[in-house]
Order: sequence, then structure tokens, then C-alpha cells
Amino acid sequence: MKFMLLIRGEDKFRQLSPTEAEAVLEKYFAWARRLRDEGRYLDGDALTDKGVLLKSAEGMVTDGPLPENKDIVGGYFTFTAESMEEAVEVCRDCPSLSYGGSAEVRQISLYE
Amino acid sequence: MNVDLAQLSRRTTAHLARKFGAKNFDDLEDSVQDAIAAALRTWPIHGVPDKPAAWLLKVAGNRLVDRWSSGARYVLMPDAALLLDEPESFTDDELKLLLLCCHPAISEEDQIAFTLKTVAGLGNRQIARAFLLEEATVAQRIVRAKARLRAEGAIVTLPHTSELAERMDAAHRVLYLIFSEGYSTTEGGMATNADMCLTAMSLLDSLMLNPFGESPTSHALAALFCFSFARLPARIAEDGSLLTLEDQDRTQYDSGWRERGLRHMSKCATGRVASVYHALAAISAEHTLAKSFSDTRWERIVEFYEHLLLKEPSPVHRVGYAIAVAMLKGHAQGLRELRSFAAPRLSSYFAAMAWMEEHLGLDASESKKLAASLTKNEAERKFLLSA
Repeated sequence: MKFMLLIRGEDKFRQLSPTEAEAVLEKYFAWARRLRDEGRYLDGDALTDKGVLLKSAEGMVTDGPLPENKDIVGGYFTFTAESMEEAVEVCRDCPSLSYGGSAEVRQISLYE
Repeated sequence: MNVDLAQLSRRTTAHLARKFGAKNFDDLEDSVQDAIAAALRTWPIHGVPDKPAAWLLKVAGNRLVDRWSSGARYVLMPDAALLLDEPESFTDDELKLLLLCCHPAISEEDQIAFTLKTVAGLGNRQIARAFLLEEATVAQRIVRAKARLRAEGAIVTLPHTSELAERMDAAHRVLYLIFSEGYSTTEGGMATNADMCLTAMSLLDSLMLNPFGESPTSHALAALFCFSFARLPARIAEDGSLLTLEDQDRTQYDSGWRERGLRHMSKCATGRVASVYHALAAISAEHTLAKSFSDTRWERIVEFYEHLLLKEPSPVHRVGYAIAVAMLKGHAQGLRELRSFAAPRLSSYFAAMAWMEEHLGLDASESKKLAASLTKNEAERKFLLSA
């Protein structure tokens, strides 16, 4: 089964000192490497905070960082797991969670 | 994974402070923080970039420019090269790979793309952006290059180690082309794509660290690059427009690059071969070292151009020669020189002609119009039309 991990609220990353950041980087590398080593990794990237919010075809466009700053999706991963339980386990030690981030795990539709 | 973020962030901050002043130090720090946060989120996925310092500097610089909302794009200036990670020597195999990319069966424009992709590790999109090409065009050039190699059976006949030194000409040529393309390409209205010039410089550095690649000609080429970098900060005005040699503020020339250029100059004078790059570097040295436009030793420049034209009588060099002649012997003489040949597709030919005509009190409007219509560089076009 395919899953998507949406990572929100990584704003604490901005408050880390370089040496703290280095520790996070190492954890993150290890986590991302494991995802790959286990053959789970499909795709992923970080999102910048530039964006617009459209609420209707002709309605207002909200420019720039979205209103609720801490809810911004900062990055995503897609990966495989046998079950939702396993997917949650994979995400549990995503380093973002230790730095004020939240992780939303969603199953991707397979048209099965 | 060995990344010293403390050192990287310190260097980036120091560099930005030097570049932009320490007046708004908070902004500098915030930008560096942003860049580090971006690194945390992207490096684990995409890997640590080849040049982490340059990567951080570029991201931080862009954030800074965003913050000050000028809408401009931060261009990695060549003095940032001092921040770049120490070049590593090419192995013999890497040298062979480079020579493969500049195989004579491949056309020059394809060699450039193929080398940047295969040796410098750039993506099609980066190459396309650097040279203002469609991504598909770059992809096509690379496919074509590989097809040529297949047709030549070149993949299986990498040059033998004993041939390396003598086949280095092709490598020099392609590095020179990458550098010149970068120097004359406009990006976001800026007159020079310093990234590409730096890429050429760093490939040359790696090349020269290999005993087969270290030669008087390599040093001459390196001197040429360094002198060009030295003059770069003065070449572009605050608003991104171009300044001629005559109008440049020479106190802005970068002394670090100048010194580096001189060191290479002193090493290129050995051996019997005086290459095209020796002449070009000597000309560039004269311009870089002259205190002002009028103090320039034009008699030496004319002489170097005469050497150059014996080796490579290209229209571009002939235009340079004509300008030097104009400075040494008067604009009428220079104009005669220009009119002794035709270069109907060369913008600088008509720009030089307009310059001479103006000095002689002649009507320069036609030459100016032609020069502006032929340039592919937006900054240059504005420059030509405003003068």
C-alpha cells in the first residue's frame, strides 16, 4: 500500500543553532536512509512557504505564507507499507516530530 | 554524513556581511537560519549538495533579497568562490571522461552541455537556465553527443593515459567556452552568469591538480579566468546594467582574484608553447592591472593581439584588436581596421564601430541599431540603446 506523510509546522527548525541543526540533520539522514534501505521510499520533497490559497474560482487569492503559519505543510514523503499501522510506525520517528512538527499519514488511493 | 553546519553558517554569515554590510545584521542572520532550515528539509531527501557552502550562500542570499523585496535574484558572485569547498584533483579516469565529453566528433555546443552534465554533474534544467535554453534543447544536445560517441565507437576507446597531455587542448577549449558563455549570458537581467564561470573555474582547478592536466596552457587559462573574475564586480552597475572598461570603477576590482591570476601568470611562462590563452590572459592582465582606461598600456595590448591573431584570427579577436589600435593610434585607424573585414552577425563589431564613429563625430546611429539587434543579452541591449 502507498502512503503519504505530510509534515507540518517545522517552524522550530528556524530556531535551532547550527550545532543543534547538525544533530537534526544527522537524525534526518538516518531516517531518510532507512526509508530507502527498506525499499519504502517513493518520492519526497520540501515545500517553500511561498504559495497562494484559492477558495473559489473567482474568490480572493491569499498571497504569501498561508494564514495559519504553523499549519503549513513543510514537506511530504510518499512511501510503501503493509498496513496503516506499519505506516504510522515508519513515521513515528520522523525527526520533525521532535521539533514541534506534526506528521499526517494518509493512505493513497490505489483504485483497487 | 560529515557536515559542519556551524562552520558553514559562520562562513555564510561572514560572507553576506562583507557583501551587504553589517547594518541589518538581524536580516543576515535570519536569512542564514532560513537557509539552514531549508537544508534540514531538503538535504536528507536529495543528499548534501556538492558545494554545501555555495548552496547555503545562494539560498540565504535569495532570502535576503526576498526580504528586502527588490524582486531581484541574488547572483552568486565569484568572490564567493573563496567559500567553495577545496577543489579535488581529477583522477586519471575523470580526466578521460572529460576528454570523452570534448571528443572532436561532438559539436562545440553539444560538448558544453555534455560536459556540464557528465563532468560537472549539473541537471538539464540547470544548464538550460544558465544558458537561457529550453530544457528540451539541452536534452537533445546531450542525446546527440552520446549518439556521436556511439557512432565513433569512442566509448570503448577512451584515450590512453599516454595521450592525455596532448589531448588536453580539447578540454581547455570546452572550459573556455563554458566560461565565456557564462560571462556573456544574461540571467534575470544580470549581465553575467557567475555560476557557470565558477563551474568552469572549479573544473579547471580539478584538472590542474592532476599531473597530466597541469601545464603552462592550463595556467594561462586559469590566469584568464581569474583576471576576468577580478574585473567582474566593476563590470555591472548597481541596477544590473553593463559598464564599459572606460567607465568601470577600478577600485572595485577584486584583489584576491587579481593576485591569484598573477600567480597563474607566473607559472604559465614556462615551456615552449604560447597558446591562445597565453595571449588572452596577457591582454586581460593588462586591463586588470592598469590604473585607469587611459593608463592602459595599449602598445602591449596591440602586440598581444597580434600574437593572438596569428593563432586565431576570429572576428571577436579582430574587434578587440581594432579597439586597441584605436586607443594607440587614433579612432580613424581603428575604424579602418574594423572596416577591413566584415562580421555581419557580431554585435560587438557594430558596438565598437559605433564607439569609434562617435569619437570621430560621425553618425553612429546605424551601427548602434545593428549592435542592439544582434545581441542576445538584455543588459547589453539596454546598454547599447541608452548610450
